[in-house]
Amino acid sequence: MANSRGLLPGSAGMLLLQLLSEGDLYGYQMTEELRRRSDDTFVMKAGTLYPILHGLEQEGKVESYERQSEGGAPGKPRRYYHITRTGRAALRQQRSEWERLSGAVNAVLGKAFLTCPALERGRA
Amino acid sequence: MLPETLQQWLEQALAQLRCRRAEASVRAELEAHLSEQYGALLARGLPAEEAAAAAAREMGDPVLVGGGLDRVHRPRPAWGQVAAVGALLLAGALLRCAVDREAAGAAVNSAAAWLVVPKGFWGVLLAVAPALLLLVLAARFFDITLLERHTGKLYAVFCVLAVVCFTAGARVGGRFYYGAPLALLFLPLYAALLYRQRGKGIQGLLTGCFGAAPGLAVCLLTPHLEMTVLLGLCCLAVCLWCCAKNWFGLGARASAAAVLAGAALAAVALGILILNGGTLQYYFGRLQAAMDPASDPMGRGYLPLYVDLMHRASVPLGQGLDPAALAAGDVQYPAGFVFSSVFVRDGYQLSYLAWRLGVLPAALLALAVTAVLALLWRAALRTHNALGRMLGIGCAALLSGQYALNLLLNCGLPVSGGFLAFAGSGGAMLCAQALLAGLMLSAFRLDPVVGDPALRRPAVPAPPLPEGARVAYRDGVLSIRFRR
Repeated sequence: MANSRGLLPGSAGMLLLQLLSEGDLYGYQMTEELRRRSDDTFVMKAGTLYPILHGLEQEGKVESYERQSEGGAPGKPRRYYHITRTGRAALRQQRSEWERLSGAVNAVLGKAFLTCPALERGRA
Repeated sequence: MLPETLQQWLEQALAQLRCRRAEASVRAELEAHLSEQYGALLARGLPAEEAAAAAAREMGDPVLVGGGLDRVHRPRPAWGQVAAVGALLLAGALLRCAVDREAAGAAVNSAAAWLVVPKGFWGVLLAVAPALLLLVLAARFFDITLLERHTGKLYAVFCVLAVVCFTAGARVGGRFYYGAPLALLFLPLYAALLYRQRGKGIQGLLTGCFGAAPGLAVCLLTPHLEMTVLLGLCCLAVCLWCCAKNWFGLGARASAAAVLAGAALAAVALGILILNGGTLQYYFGRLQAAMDPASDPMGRGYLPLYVDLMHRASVPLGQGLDPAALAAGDVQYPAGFVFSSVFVRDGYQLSYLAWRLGVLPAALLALAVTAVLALLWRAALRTHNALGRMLGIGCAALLSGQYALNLLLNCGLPVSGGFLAFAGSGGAMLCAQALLAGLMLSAFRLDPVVGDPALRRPAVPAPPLPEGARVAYRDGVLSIRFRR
């Protein structure tokens, strides 16, 4: 994940739920999709991904099933994940919390930028 | 086949998993991820050794990965559920001790006397509840996947036990004593049989339908009509759950229609058996006695009369009135009517408790049993493992059905087969209930670990919706996005 880990508590689960809300994926697909969409900002390693995924499954937010992957080796089913109704509700809640938090951070940063003397001298 | 570097990475990660049961599914998933990662790097033109090393770096530290998975894949202790069942077992043992003590003629004239159990009964109190709790714990640590792997052999063992029960077992009140408890233990076997029929089409459906026959036959041969109906309904409930999940792969509605048709045929067959076997006259006689117990006060009307008397003698709190004094002068109770609680031990514990200690304590016990059953139902419906779900639903339904029959019995209705869950009398039935509870707790305990990938997903998942699209159709499955 990005170096700003301290600013993203619990956000990894939210990102995975968001990906799954748009379609069923398996583990490797999720890491690649996350990397692609974030322009390589979020690089989620397996060590982070699978404990979170399995934890989400235990909480009932996602469920897994086996299916032949479209591009995978023939005869080798993959374990796909699907977001549940509980997961969608959790995602909505987490998104609204994130929007509230990021809005508050932006508001503080915005005011701080406006009132910071060093920045004012920099602009001048 | 993974290169040596990645194989070592995988083994190092899996070595952190303390629960060996989770290893197979975690290994398959990590292996697939490693394989795809390695393949992608090779496709970018990296040499094999570099690609393997890069793939291992991309996966992260194997010890940390394995440690993270180990924290997730741990059996759930759920000691609260064990404690709840244990508390009921203890309450039931205390109640039985008190009833047996009174039956032995000891004087019970104050609440404090309940604590003074005559010598000889301490063994019962100290041995019965702990022994039953040990049974619960033993079943709790039993590997329920063995039920699925050895279903055929266990069915054969069940049939052998049934033969032994009917040839060498004792008979009580015209019934084979061990028939009903044995039938109780049939349900986990049936759940395992259904679990094995996943995706087997018409063959699986027929096996599932006819697979209930041995258990129902045991109930019929006992003979125990209420238990036959109860077991039949519980097997039907589990089978219909399988149909709703399209377990057999024939479509939910078609499977359910076939199962219901089969159940209707079985009900008709049972009706014919009842009409031809004279059972109908027996139940008519019991119903008549329940509606007008005074017509046969020394025969079938005795228990309904005595239970009604106990209800009338009960007070909200404390020992109730003397039944003999209450019945004095009442023509319903002829000379020779025995006012002794000895005859109401089996099945009427709630009424006896209401009379001895008050209506409130009896209501509390009933509430406690209801609460424990609700706890088991909740766990059954929340478990993700298909076998655990089937076993949980079936066993919870059976225990609840027995409890419901017991409540009806204590209300004066002419039913049998009722049993106060974990707190009734009858050693064999208590042992069977303890084993059932233990098996259910075993399924719930392993739920975080023994994941069932095919639990709730349809055979064909919904197609992903393209960007901006609201409707997509693939392989007969339509997806519609109603909101972002």
